[in-house]
Amino acid sequence: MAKGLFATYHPAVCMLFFLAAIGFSFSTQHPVYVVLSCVMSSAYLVYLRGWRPFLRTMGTCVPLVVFVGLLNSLFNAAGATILWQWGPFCVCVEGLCYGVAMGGMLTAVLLWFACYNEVMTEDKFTYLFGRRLPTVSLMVTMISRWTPRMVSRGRNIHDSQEALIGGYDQSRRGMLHRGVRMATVLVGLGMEDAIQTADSMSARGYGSATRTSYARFRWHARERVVLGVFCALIAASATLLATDAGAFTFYPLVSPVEPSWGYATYALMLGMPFWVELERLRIPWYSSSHGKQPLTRASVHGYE
Amino acid sequence: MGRLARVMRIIQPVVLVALPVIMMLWAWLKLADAALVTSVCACAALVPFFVGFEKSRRRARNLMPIVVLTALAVAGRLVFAPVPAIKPIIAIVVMGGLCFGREEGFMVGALAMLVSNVFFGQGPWTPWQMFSMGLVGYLAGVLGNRGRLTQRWSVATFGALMALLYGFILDTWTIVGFVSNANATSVFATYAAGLANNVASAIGTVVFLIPIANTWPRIFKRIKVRYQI
Repeated sequence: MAKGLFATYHPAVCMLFFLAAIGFSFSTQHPVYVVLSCVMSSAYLVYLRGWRPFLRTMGTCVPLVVFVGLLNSLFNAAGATILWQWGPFCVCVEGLCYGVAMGGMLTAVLLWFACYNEVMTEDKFTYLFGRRLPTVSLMVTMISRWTPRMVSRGRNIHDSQEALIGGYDQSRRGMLHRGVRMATVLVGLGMEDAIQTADSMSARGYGSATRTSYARFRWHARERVVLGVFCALIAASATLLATDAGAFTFYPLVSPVEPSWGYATYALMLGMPFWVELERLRIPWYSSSHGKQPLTRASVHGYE
Repeated sequence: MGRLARVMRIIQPVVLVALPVIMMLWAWLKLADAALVTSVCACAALVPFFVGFEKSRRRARNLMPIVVLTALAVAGRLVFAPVPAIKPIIAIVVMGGLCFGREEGFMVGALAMLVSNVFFGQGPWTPWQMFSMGLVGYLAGVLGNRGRLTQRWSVATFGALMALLYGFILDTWTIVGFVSNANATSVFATYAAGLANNVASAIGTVVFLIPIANTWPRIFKRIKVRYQI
């Protein structure tokens, strides 16, 4: 279970938050909004996983971000302030700024996805989509179970063949031959096994009625309150961001950054995983609807 | 099969053509918010396939070939993770489409990318990878239904073309989504940067497909007869 109260919220709330965060980050290259999104996603990822994994995630993002940044700044002659020109290459200040902004936007999106991977675990995903798409979510679950089984069975086949045949042909050709034969064995074996599983499922009534789902997640007052506040923040950010982003251009000259209320609402919107922690203050009207239950389900299930 | 499933089956080929066209048009007209719009379009393009598959009410045992092939493709991507570009995944998706049909082929490709990205990291690329890999499986299924692609070499050639197509779609998405004022030089630079990777992937696919192109259909045929799938 991911750290913090936000991860204990209903999966629909978490999903909406990530959709909004990723969608908004994707939609603008306005420098202030890009910086805000980067800061908030970094803060949340550091909070969730610590500094070391955060730096590792950043490391994997760097090549893509640098590539996109260079692509935008090196081959773009739309700016007015030319720094350097050689044949088709024309570097201008505006292009560099755009490249940095685009790189920042991509970094923010990748960091939000890293947070998503941490918070939206597979059980939440199946909870959300399991009733709508029962067949597909069954398949995703089975694939996740079959993948490690394939790897371990492959190892068994490898070991037994080594014991039977002994010394191996270590050339590339020999290894490819063995690999292909192993895949062929795995496919045949896997299909027979999986079909027997399916027959056994059908015999136990799979597909005879609509699928039910064990609801571990419930709507409480806190979900309603937080969702209301968050939707208001989305609406405010969307309108303010649209005006700010409409007034800002990179080409031919980078326009100056004007102060706006949009920055505050945007930061508040992206800061949702942090401000839901206010619940720990035990505000009476807010936590009363939990009835006789302790304040959070997190403490009931011993997540912390 | 329900009516919705039939409608979805008609929409599917339209969507496969429409998404790349919309993507190109967006870049051509230099419209704003390309990154967001193309991502939303890619997610929308997956809907008719998933809903159509869901509503077709397949029996549990008919799902199993897809599950097993996808699991093998994911395992293959994991095992080959240290080797750059060369992955058995396209070869497996092509065989899936060829032997089990176009919708099944699409599901093998799309689910393989969805599930393997749990290990490799979900990102803005996930819907595009799902779409392109699904397209590979779908095209293989179309040709398989027509009784084409029975020869080992034709399957291998088809696989190589599909690997290039997959790389081409993803490279194009990079340009459309993340390059402003794309001109001939930046387009060329992007494709050139991806070229080595795409060619290696095509060669890898051929190497994987040649030994299995004749064996796997035989195995699947036997399983289909034996278990009456």
